[in-house]
Amino acid sequence: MSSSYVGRSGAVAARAIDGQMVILQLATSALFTLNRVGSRIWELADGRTTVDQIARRIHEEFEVEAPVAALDALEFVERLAAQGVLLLSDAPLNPDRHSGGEANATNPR
Amino acid sequence: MDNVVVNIGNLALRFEIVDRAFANMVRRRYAAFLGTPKAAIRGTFQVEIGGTSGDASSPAPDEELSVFCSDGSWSISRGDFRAQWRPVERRGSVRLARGIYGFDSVLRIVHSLELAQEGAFLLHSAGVIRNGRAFLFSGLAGSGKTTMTRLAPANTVLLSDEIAYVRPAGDTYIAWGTPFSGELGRPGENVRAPIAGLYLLKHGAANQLQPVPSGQALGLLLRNILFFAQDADLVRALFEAAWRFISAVPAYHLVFRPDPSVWELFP
Repeated sequence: MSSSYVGRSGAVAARAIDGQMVILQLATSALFTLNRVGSRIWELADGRTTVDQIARRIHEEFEVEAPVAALDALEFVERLAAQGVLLLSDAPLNPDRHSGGEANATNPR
Repeated sequence: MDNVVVNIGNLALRFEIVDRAFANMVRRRYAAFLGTPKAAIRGTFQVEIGGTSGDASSPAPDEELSVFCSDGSWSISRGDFRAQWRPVERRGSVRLARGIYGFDSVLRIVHSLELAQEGAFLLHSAGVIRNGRAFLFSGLAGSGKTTMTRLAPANTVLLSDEIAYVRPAGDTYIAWGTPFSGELGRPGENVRAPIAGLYLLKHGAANQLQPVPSGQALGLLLRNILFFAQDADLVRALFEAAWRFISAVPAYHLVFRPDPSVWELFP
Protein backbone atom coordinates (compact mmCIF):
# COMPACT_ATOMS: atom_id res chain seq x y z
CA MET A 1 0.00 0.00 0.00
CA SER A 2 2.86 2.40 0.78
CA SER A 3 4.08 2.14 -2.80
CA SER A 4 0.65 3.12 -4.10
CA TYR A 5 0.24 6.35 -6.01
CA VAL A 6 -2.03 8.95 -4.47
CA GLY A 7 -4.29 11.28 -6.42
CA ARG A 8 -7.08 13.71 -5.66
CA SER A 9 -10.60 12.66 -6.51
CA GLY A 10 -12.51 14.71 -9.05
CA ALA A 11 -15.67 14.13 -7.03
CA VAL A 12 -14.82 16.80 -4.50
CA ALA A 13 -14.63 20.57 -4.29
CA ALA A 14 -11.69 21.99 -2.38
CA ARG A 15 -10.37 25.36 -1.34
CA ALA A 16 -7.49 26.59 0.75
CA ILE A 17 -8.41 29.00 3.52
CA ASP A 18 -5.78 30.41 5.86
CA GLY A 19 -3.40 27.58 4.93
CA GLN A 20 -5.94 24.83 5.53
CA MET A 21 -7.66 22.79 2.87
CA VAL A 22 -11.42 22.55 3.19
CA ILE A 23 -12.82 19.73 1.07
CA LEU A 24 -16.42 18.89 0.26
CA GLN A 25 -17.31 15.41 -0.95
CA LEU A 26 -19.93 16.22 -3.57
CA ALA A 27 -21.92 13.00 -3.41
CA THR A 28 -22.26 12.84 0.36
CA SER A 29 -21.78 16.54 1.25
CA ALA A 30 -19.27 15.39 3.89
CA LEU A 31 -16.89 18.21 4.76
CA PHE A 32 -13.23 17.74 5.65
CA THR A 33 -11.01 20.43 7.11
CA LEU A 34 -7.37 19.39 6.94
CA ASN A 35 -4.64 20.56 9.29
CA ARG A 36 -1.30 21.79 7.96
CA VAL A 37 0.16 18.32 7.48
CA GLY A 38 -3.04 16.98 5.94
CA SER A 39 -3.20 19.99 3.63
CA ARG A 40 0.38 19.34 2.52
CA ILE A 41 -0.44 15.69 1.82
CA TRP A 42 -3.41 16.82 -0.26
CA GLU A 43 -1.12 19.14 -2.20
CA LEU A 44 1.39 16.35 -2.81
CA ALA A 45 -1.29 13.91 -3.97
CA ASP A 46 -0.78 14.62 -7.65
CA GLY A 47 -1.30 11.09 -8.91
CA ARG A 48 2.42 10.66 -9.63
CA THR A 49 3.66 10.55 -6.04
CA THR A 50 3.52 7.46 -3.84
CA VAL A 51 2.53 7.23 -0.19
CA ASP A 52 6.19 6.52 0.68
CA GLN A 53 7.38 9.61 -1.15
CA ILE A 54 4.73 11.74 0.55
CA ALA A 55 5.76 10.36 3.95
CA ARG A 56 9.40 11.31 3.24
CA ARG A 57 8.37 14.88 2.42
CA ILE A 58 6.34 15.10 5.60
CA HIS A 59 9.32 13.79 7.58
CA GLU A 60 11.58 16.43 6.01
CA GLU A 61 9.23 19.39 6.11
CA PHE A 62 7.54 18.93 9.49
CA GLU A 63 10.32 17.43 11.62
CA VAL A 64 8.31 14.28 12.21
CA GLU A 65 10.20 11.04 12.89
CA ALA A 66 10.33 8.97 9.68
CA PRO A 67 8.44 5.92 11.04
CA VAL A 68 5.77 8.16 12.51
CA ALA A 69 5.44 10.10 9.25
CA ALA A 70 5.15 6.83 7.29
CA LEU A 71 2.40 5.49 9.55
CA ASP A 72 0.52 8.78 9.74
CA ALA A 73 0.67 9.40 5.99
CA LEU A 74 -0.57 5.90 5.21
CA GLU A 75 -3.39 6.12 7.73
CA PHE A 76 -4.38 9.56 6.42
CA VAL A 77 -4.52 8.62 2.74
CA GLU A 78 -6.36 5.37 3.47
CA ARG A 79 -8.93 7.25 5.54
CA LEU A 80 -9.53 9.86 2.84
CA ALA A 81 -9.51 7.23 0.11
CA ALA A 82 -12.25 5.36 1.98
CA GLN A 83 -14.27 8.58 1.87
CA GLY A 84 -13.72 9.06 -1.87
CA VAL A 85 -11.60 12.16 -1.34
CA LEU A 86 -8.25 10.66 -2.34
CA LEU A 87 -7.52 7.90 -4.84
CA LEU A 88 -4.98 5.09 -4.43
CA SER A 89 -3.59 3.21 -7.40
CA ASP A 90 -0.83 0.75 -8.23
CA ALA A 91 -0.03 2.82 -11.33
CA PRO A 92 0.40 6.58 -11.68
CA LEU A 93 -2.90 8.39 -12.04
CA ASN A 94 -3.61 10.77 -14.88
CA PRO A 95 -4.03 14.14 -13.17
CA ASP A 96 -6.32 15.37 -15.94
CA ARG A 97 -8.70 12.51 -15.33
CA HIS A 98 -8.55 12.16 -11.61
CA SER A 99 -7.49 15.39 -10.03
CA GLY A 100 -10.12 17.99 -10.08
CA GLY A 101 -12.55 19.95 -8.02
CA GLU A 102 -9.81 22.21 -6.82
CA ALA A 103 -9.75 25.66 -8.23
CA ASN A 104 -6.53 27.61 -8.01
CA ALA A 105 -6.79 27.79 -4.32
CA THR A 106 -5.80 30.93 -2.57
CA ASN A 107 -7.76 33.00 -0.14
CA PRO A 108 -8.30 36.50 -1.56
CA ARG A 109 -8.78 38.01 1.89
CA MET B 1 -57.22 31.50 -13.83
CA ASP B 2 -55.42 33.83 -11.40
CA ASN B 3 -51.88 34.99 -12.11
CA VAL B 4 -49.80 35.72 -9.03
CA VAL B 5 -46.20 36.94 -9.31
CA VAL B 6 -44.07 36.33 -6.22
CA ASN B 7 -40.85 38.33 -6.29
CA ILE B 8 -38.33 37.40 -3.58
CA GLY B 9 -34.75 38.66 -3.72
CA ASN B 10 -35.40 40.11 -7.17
CA LEU B 11 -36.24 36.68 -8.54
CA ALA B 12 -39.82 36.72 -9.76
CA LEU B 13 -41.89 33.61 -10.40
CA ARG B 14 -45.39 33.68 -11.87
CA PHE B 15 -47.99 31.19 -10.71
CA GLU B 16 -51.06 30.40 -12.79
CA ILE B 17 -53.56 29.22 -10.20
CA VAL B 18 -56.94 27.79 -11.17
CA ASP B 19 -58.31 27.75 -7.63
CA ARG B 20 -59.24 31.34 -6.74
CA ALA B 21 -59.38 30.73 -3.00
CA PHE B 22 -55.85 29.33 -3.06
CA ALA B 23 -54.65 32.23 -5.23
CA ASN B 24 -55.99 34.63 -2.62
CA MET B 25 -54.26 32.64 0.11
CA VAL B 26 -50.96 33.02 -1.80
CA ARG B 27 -51.59 36.76 -2.21
CA ARG B 28 -52.15 37.17 1.52
CA ARG B 29 -49.16 35.04 2.50
CA TYR B 30 -46.73 36.88 0.21
CA ALA B 31 -48.39 40.29 0.32
CA ALA B 32 -45.14 42.25 0.65
CA PHE B 33 -43.48 40.20 -2.11
CA LEU B 34 -46.01 40.36 -4.91
CA GLY B 35 -44.47 41.43 -8.19
CA THR B 36 -45.98 43.63 -10.82
CA PRO B 37 -46.64 42.42 -14.38
CA LYS B 38 -43.57 44.45 -15.38
CA ALA B 39 -41.24 42.38 -13.19
CA ALA B 40 -38.81 40.21 -15.17
CA ILE B 41 -40.27 36.74 -14.74
CA ARG B 42 -37.74 33.92 -14.21
CA GLY B 43 -40.35 31.23 -14.74
CA THR B 44 -44.04 30.39 -14.83
CA PHE B 45 -45.69 27.57 -12.90
CA GLN B 46 -49.11 26.10 -13.39
CA VAL B 47 -50.58 25.33 -9.99
CA GLU B 48 -53.19 22.64 -9.35
CA ILE B 49 -54.71 21.88 -6.01
CA GLY B 50 -55.38 18.34 -4.79
CA GLY B 51 -55.51 15.15 -6.83
CA THR B 52 -57.74 12.18 -7.50
CA SER B 53 -57.54 9.03 -5.44
CA GLY B 54 -55.33 6.44 -7.09
CA ASP B 55 -53.77 9.00 -9.43
CA ALA B 56 -50.04 8.24 -9.54
CA SER B 57 -49.24 11.91 -9.99
CA SER B 58 -51.07 12.91 -6.82
CA PRO B 59 -49.15 13.79 -3.68
CA ALA B 60 -48.66 10.72 -1.47
CA PRO B 61 -48.83 11.04 2.32
CA ASP B 62 -45.54 10.48 4.22
CA GLU B 63 -43.40 10.67 1.08
CA GLU B 64 -40.02 12.21 1.88
CA LEU B 65 -38.60 15.14 -0.03
CA SER B 66 -36.97 14.20 -3.32
CA VAL B 67 -35.23 16.65 -5.66
CA PHE B 68 -33.51 15.40 -8.78
CA CYS B 69 -32.78 16.48 -12.33
CA SER B 70 -33.33 14.36 -15.40
CA ASP B 71 -32.97 15.58 -19.00
CA GLY B 72 -32.91 19.18 -17.87
CA SER B 73 -36.11 18.89 -15.86
CA TRP B 74 -36.21 19.07 -12.06
CA SER B 75 -38.60 16.78 -10.24
CA ILE B 76 -39.44 17.96 -6.75
CA SER B 77 -41.78 15.96 -4.57
CA ARG B 78 -42.82 15.38 -1.01
CA GLY B 79 -45.91 14.02 0.68
CA ASP B 80 -47.84 17.23 0.16
CA PHE B 81 -46.71 18.32 -3.32
CA ARG B 82 -45.25 17.30 -6.65
CA ALA B 83 -43.54 19.83 -8.87
CA GLN B 84 -41.62 19.97 -12.13
CA TRP B 85 -39.29 22.80 -13.14
CA ARG B 86 -37.74 23.09 -16.60
CA PRO B 87 -35.25 25.98 -16.36
CA VAL B 88 -34.49 26.17 -20.08
CA GLU B 89 -38.16 26.55 -20.95
CA ARG B 90 -38.78 28.62 -17.81
CA ARG B 91 -41.90 26.56 -17.22
CA GLY B 92 -43.00 24.38 -14.39
CA SER B 93 -45.97 22.82 -12.69
CA VAL B 94 -47.01 22.27 -9.11
CA ARG B 95 -49.66 19.96 -7.75
CA LEU B 96 -50.21 20.28 -4.05
CA ALA B 97 -52.50 19.90 -1.10
CA ARG B 98 -54.50 22.99 -0.24
CA GLY B 99 -52.26 24.25 2.57
CA ILE B 100 -49.73 26.98 1.93
CA TYR B 101 -46.90 25.00 3.55
CA GLY B 102 -46.20 22.89 0.45
CA PHE B 103 -46.30 25.98 -1.78
CA ASP B 104 -43.81 27.68 0.52
CA SER B 105 -41.51 24.66 0.27
CA VAL B 106 -41.65 24.61 -3.53
CA LEU B 107 -40.75 28.30 -3.57
CA ARG B 108 -37.71 27.74 -1.33
CA ILE B 109 -36.49 24.79 -3.38
CA VAL B 110 -36.88 26.45 -6.78
CA HIS B 111 -35.15 29.55 -5.46
CA SER B 112 -32.28 27.46 -4.05
CA LEU B 113 -31.81 25.74 -7.43
CA GLU B 114 -31.78 29.01 -9.33
CA LEU B 115 -29.54 30.84 -6.86
CA ALA B 116 -26.89 28.12 -6.83
CA GLN B 117 -26.00 29.05 -10.40
CA GLU B 118 -25.56 32.72 -9.50
CA GLY B 119 -23.16 32.40 -6.57
CA ALA B 120 -26.09 33.15 -4.27
CA PHE B 121 -27.95 31.12 -1.67
CA LEU B 122 -30.68 30.93 0.94
CA LEU B 123 -29.22 30.93 4.42
CA HIS B 124 -30.87 29.42 7.46
CA SER B 125 -30.50 32.59 9.49
CA ALA B 126 -32.33 35.45 11.06
CA GLY B 127 -31.55 38.79 9.48
CA VAL B 128 -32.03 42.36 10.57
CA ILE B 129 -31.05 45.70 9.04
CA ARG B 130 -29.74 48.37 11.35
CA ASN B 131 -28.33 51.69 10.20
CA GLY B 132 -28.16 50.52 6.60
CA ARG B 133 -26.27 47.30 7.29
CA ALA B 134 -27.58 43.75 7.43
CA PHE B 135 -26.65 41.46 10.32
CA LEU B 136 -27.23 37.75 9.81
CA PHE B 137 -27.62 35.42 12.79
CA SER B 138 -27.22 31.79 11.88
CA GLY B 139 -27.52 28.54 13.73
CA LEU B 140 -29.55 25.40 14.08
CA ALA B 141 -33.04 25.29 15.58
CA GLY B 142 -32.99 26.55 19.15
CA SER B 143 -29.79 28.56 18.74
CA GLY B 144 -31.58 31.88 19.19
CA LYS B 145 -32.38 33.23 15.72
CA THR B 146 -35.92 34.23 16.57
CA THR B 147 -34.78 35.50 19.97
CA MET B 148 -32.33 37.89 18.32
CA THR B 149 -35.10 39.35 16.17
CA ARG B 150 -37.46 39.66 19.16
CA LEU B 151 -34.77 41.53 21.09
CA ALA B 152 -33.94 43.86 18.19
CA PRO B 153 -34.37 47.57 18.90
CA ALA B 154 -37.08 49.66 17.29
CA ASN B 155 -34.74 51.17 14.70
CA THR B 156 -34.20 47.81 12.97
CA VAL B 157 -35.95 46.24 10.00
CA LEU B 158 -36.67 42.51 9.91
CA LEU B 159 -35.30 40.55 6.95
CA SER B 160 -36.51 37.23 8.37
CA ASP B 161 -36.27 35.23 11.56
CA GLU B 162 -35.67 32.04 9.56
CA ILE B 163 -34.18 32.41 6.07
CA ALA B 164 -32.14 35.21 4.54
CA TYR B 165 -31.53 35.65 0.86
CA VAL B 166 -27.84 36.24 0.10
CA ARG B 167 -26.56 37.58 -3.21
CA PRO B 168 -23.11 38.76 -4.31
CA ALA B 169 -22.80 42.36 -5.43
CA GLY B 170 -19.33 43.26 -6.64
CA ASP B 171 -16.90 42.76 -3.77
CA THR B 172 -19.61 42.55 -1.17
CA TYR B 173 -22.81 40.67 -0.41
CA ILE B 174 -26.39 41.85 -0.12
CA ALA B 175 -29.06 40.33 2.10
CA TRP B 176 -32.68 40.55 1.02
CA GLY B 177 -35.74 40.08 3.16
CA THR B 178 -37.86 36.99 2.65
CA PRO B 179 -41.44 36.01 3.51
CA PHE B 180 -40.16 32.83 5.13
CA SER B 181 -40.72 32.95 8.86
CA GLY B 182 -39.87 30.79 11.83
CA GLU B 183 -41.24 30.98 15.36
CA LEU B 184 -41.82 34.69 15.01
CA GLY B 185 -44.64 33.94 12.58
CA ARG B 186 -44.08 37.24 10.81
CA PRO B 187 -42.63 37.62 7.30
CA GLY B 188 -39.62 39.80 6.70
CA GLU B 189 -39.75 43.16 4.97
CA ASN B 190 -39.09 43.31 1.24
CA VAL B 191 -35.85 45.30 1.62
CA ARG B 192 -32.11 44.75 1.20
CA ALA B 193 -28.78 45.94 2.59
CA PRO B 194 -25.08 45.10 2.39
CA ILE B 195 -24.11 42.41 4.87
CA ALA B 196 -21.98 43.60 7.79
CA GLY B 197 -21.26 40.16 9.18
CA LEU B 198 -22.35 36.61 9.78
CA TYR B 199 -22.92 35.79 13.45
CA LEU B 200 -23.02 32.16 14.53
CA LEU B 201 -25.15 31.95 17.63
CA LYS B 202 -24.27 30.44 20.98
CA HIS B 203 -26.06 31.01 24.27
CA GLY B 204 -23.85 32.21 27.11
CA ALA B 205 -23.69 34.23 30.31
CA ALA B 206 -22.24 37.39 28.77
CA ASN B 207 -22.42 39.04 25.37
CA GLN B 208 -19.28 38.52 23.33
CA LEU B 209 -18.11 38.46 19.72
CA GLN B 210 -15.34 36.01 18.78
CA PRO B 211 -13.92 35.95 15.23
CA VAL B 212 -14.29 32.52 13.61
CA PRO B 213 -11.31 31.16 11.64
CA SER B 214 -12.23 31.08 7.95
CA GLY B 215 -11.97 27.31 7.53
CA GLN B 216 -14.31 26.72 10.43
CA ALA B 217 -16.62 29.49 9.23
CA LEU B 218 -16.88 27.87 5.80
CA GLY B 219 -17.95 24.58 7.37
CA LEU B 220 -20.50 26.27 9.60
CA LEU B 221 -21.84 28.33 6.72
CA LEU B 222 -22.27 25.26 4.50
CA ARG B 223 -24.19 23.55 7.29
CA ASN B 224 -26.70 26.41 7.29
CA ILE B 225 -27.21 26.93 3.56
CA LEU B 226 -30.52 25.58 2.33
CA PHE B 227 -29.98 23.14 -0.46
CA PHE B 228 -32.03 20.11 -1.32
CA ALA B 229 -30.68 18.55 -4.53
CA GLN B 230 -28.11 15.78 -4.85
CA ASP B 231 -26.51 17.35 -7.89
CA ALA B 232 -22.71 17.39 -8.01
CA ASP B 233 -22.42 20.46 -10.25
CA LEU B 234 -24.75 22.55 -8.12
CA VAL B 235 -23.15 21.37 -4.87
CA ARG B 236 -19.77 22.39 -6.29
CA ALA B 237 -21.19 25.79 -7.28
CA LEU B 238 -22.59 26.19 -3.78
CA PHE B 239 -19.25 25.35 -2.20
CA GLU B 240 -17.56 27.98 -4.34
CA ALA B 241 -20.26 30.51 -3.45
CA ALA B 242 -19.81 29.79 0.26
CA TRP B 243 -16.03 30.14 -0.03
CA ARG B 244 -16.37 33.52 -1.77
CA PHE B 245 -18.83 34.67 0.88
CA ILE B 246 -16.50 33.71 3.73
CA SER B 247 -13.64 35.43 1.93
CA ALA B 248 -15.62 38.67 1.74
CA VAL B 249 -17.77 38.79 4.89
CA PRO B 250 -16.45 38.54 8.46
CA ALA B 251 -17.82 35.69 10.56
CA TYR B 252 -18.09 35.66 14.35
CA HIS B 253 -19.36 33.46 17.11
CA LEU B 254 -21.93 35.52 18.95
CA VAL B 255 -22.17 34.35 22.53
CA PHE B 256 -25.18 36.13 23.94
CA ARG B 257 -27.40 36.54 26.92
CA PRO B 258 -31.03 36.66 25.77
CA ASP B 259 -31.78 40.25 26.71
CA PRO B 260 -31.76 43.51 24.70
CA SER B 261 -28.20 44.39 25.79
CA VAL B 262 -26.86 42.05 23.08
CA TRP B 263 -27.79 44.67 20.50
CA GLU B 264 -25.19 47.04 21.97
CA LEU B 265 -22.70 44.93 19.96
CA PHE B 266 -24.39 46.02 16.72
CA PRO B 267 -24.46 49.82 16.64
